[in-house]
Amino acid sequence: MSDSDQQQTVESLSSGIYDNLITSIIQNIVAKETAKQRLLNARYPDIKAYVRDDLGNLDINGNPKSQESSKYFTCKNCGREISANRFAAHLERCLSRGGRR
Amino acid sequence: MTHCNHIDQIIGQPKIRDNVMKTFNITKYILSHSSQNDKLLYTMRCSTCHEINAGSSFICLQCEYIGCWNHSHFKDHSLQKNHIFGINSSNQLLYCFKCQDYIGDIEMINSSFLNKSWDDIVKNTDIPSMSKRDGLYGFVNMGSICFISSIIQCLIHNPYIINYSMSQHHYNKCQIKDPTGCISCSLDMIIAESYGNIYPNKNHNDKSIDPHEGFISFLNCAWKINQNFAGYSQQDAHEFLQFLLNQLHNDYKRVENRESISGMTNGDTGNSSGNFYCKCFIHSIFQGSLKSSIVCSNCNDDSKTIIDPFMDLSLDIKDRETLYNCLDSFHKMEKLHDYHYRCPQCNTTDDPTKQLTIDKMGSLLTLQLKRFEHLPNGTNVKLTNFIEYPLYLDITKYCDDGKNETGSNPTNIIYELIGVVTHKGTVNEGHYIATLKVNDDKWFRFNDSMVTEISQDLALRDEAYLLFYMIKEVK
Repeated sequence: MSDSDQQQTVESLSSGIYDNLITSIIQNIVAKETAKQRLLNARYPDIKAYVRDDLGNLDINGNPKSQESSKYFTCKNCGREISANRFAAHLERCLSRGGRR
Repeated sequence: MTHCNHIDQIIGQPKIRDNVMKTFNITKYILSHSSQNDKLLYTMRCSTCHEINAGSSFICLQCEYIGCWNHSHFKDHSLQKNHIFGINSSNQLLYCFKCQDYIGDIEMINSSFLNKSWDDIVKNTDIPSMSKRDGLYGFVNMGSICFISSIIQCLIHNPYIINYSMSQHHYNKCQIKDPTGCISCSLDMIIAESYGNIYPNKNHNDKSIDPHEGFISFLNCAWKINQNFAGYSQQDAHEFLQFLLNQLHNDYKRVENRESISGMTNGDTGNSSGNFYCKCFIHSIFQGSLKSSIVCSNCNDDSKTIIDPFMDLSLDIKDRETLYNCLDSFHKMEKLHDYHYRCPQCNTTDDPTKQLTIDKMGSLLTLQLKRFEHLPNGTNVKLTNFIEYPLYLDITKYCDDGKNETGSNPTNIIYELIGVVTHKGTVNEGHYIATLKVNDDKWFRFNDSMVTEISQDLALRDEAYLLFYMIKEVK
């Protein structure tokens, strides 16, 4: 075999190996992403992608921060409805009073 | 984009379906449990051209043929034998060579291991609702609870903990079964509310429905155990993490009715002989052990070396720039001055050398960057320098060489970043935010009730306080 023939074989061999490695990485990723997206679309025909906001002004649904003063939760100890922001403080007083009302 | 009718025909006939599912499951089982070497040699070698994984390799569902993609060998086989289904050996997905596409949208194919109970499952279960599919749920600020909510977010997006909770390991055996009386039950409930359809009769658009039942129950429980950790006053997130993991461990002990010898605290038990490591799921995930070697500089005697369990590592960050710098400093060998040492072997009182190496690792590595410094005059100061932390952390050089292990030593032990807890503000008045990788895919920031998606780039630029790394691979 002449030198140039050997050269070609080495070249085609190494490019064949490279081709194998690159295509197997790409095909694996494509297969997994395709299947995942197909499943999401089948489960949720109206699926919306999450909204990305690096500044943090919009949440995943595209809404700004909601007003928390309007949220109320029921205390499990005394049954009263307490405003969200004061809830932990209420819990501290309520549980310190020693047991259920 | 179209649905595969060919697999429908198979699913429609119970006898054929059962046979096919059996073959499918056995093949997937073999793929999951084979070594990488075996996989390459036996499941990825094309029967026609013998190349290993030319692009992708498909295992025929109906015969022993394995065909590659790049040279169209499986395609030829499917035309020749009319065997149209192939299982991809790299990712176990099913490909239909008639439709020329992967089958991703059929629930029963994706959960093929549940084939035997499928009719029951269809009747009694439902897929997660769209808004709950990734369990993204922000906790309303109820006071000074951000140290609690950021840690809970870290836990409920941890794959091991999700799996443990959803398998109902705790619930099945708990004698209390009440979220206000058992902290593990409340954590289960938080996970159920975040991921599940726990209120099926209520309209999802109803703004007043903002279920925090599980979270409120959690606060109730936490208060009963330790009033400081119920959110009335700001506490340290790291302390809270240790507290919570300890409680989950205690619940496990109670539920299993077992005495497990534990090493829950951060290495101050000095337990060097008879190291029994707790097998509860918390310790299996989080616990590692640290070797404190004290070696005589004269004769190399190391009988004073001790091994202690740890749940997380605390790293000094002063004057450091990268996480690797901090770990290097943590790990470096130094002379131990000011220590009354006498070598048991050669009797010298020369200063010994000391070094900290990792002896054992859990699947999770939790790192605390020591940002709060106590000054000699009594005040506390916060160190705000940015410490660069990598997406993939190679901890090989910090691990002990392991003289007692058979076989070759690993050349690379790599952990992957899955979460960051950031502290913003001063020592006395601050705010915690959790930044977590969800679904192995996207990064989300949890700032009280606000959940935002952010770029990976931004996730790597936090002023990190706690870092969570999960095992990626051991080569």
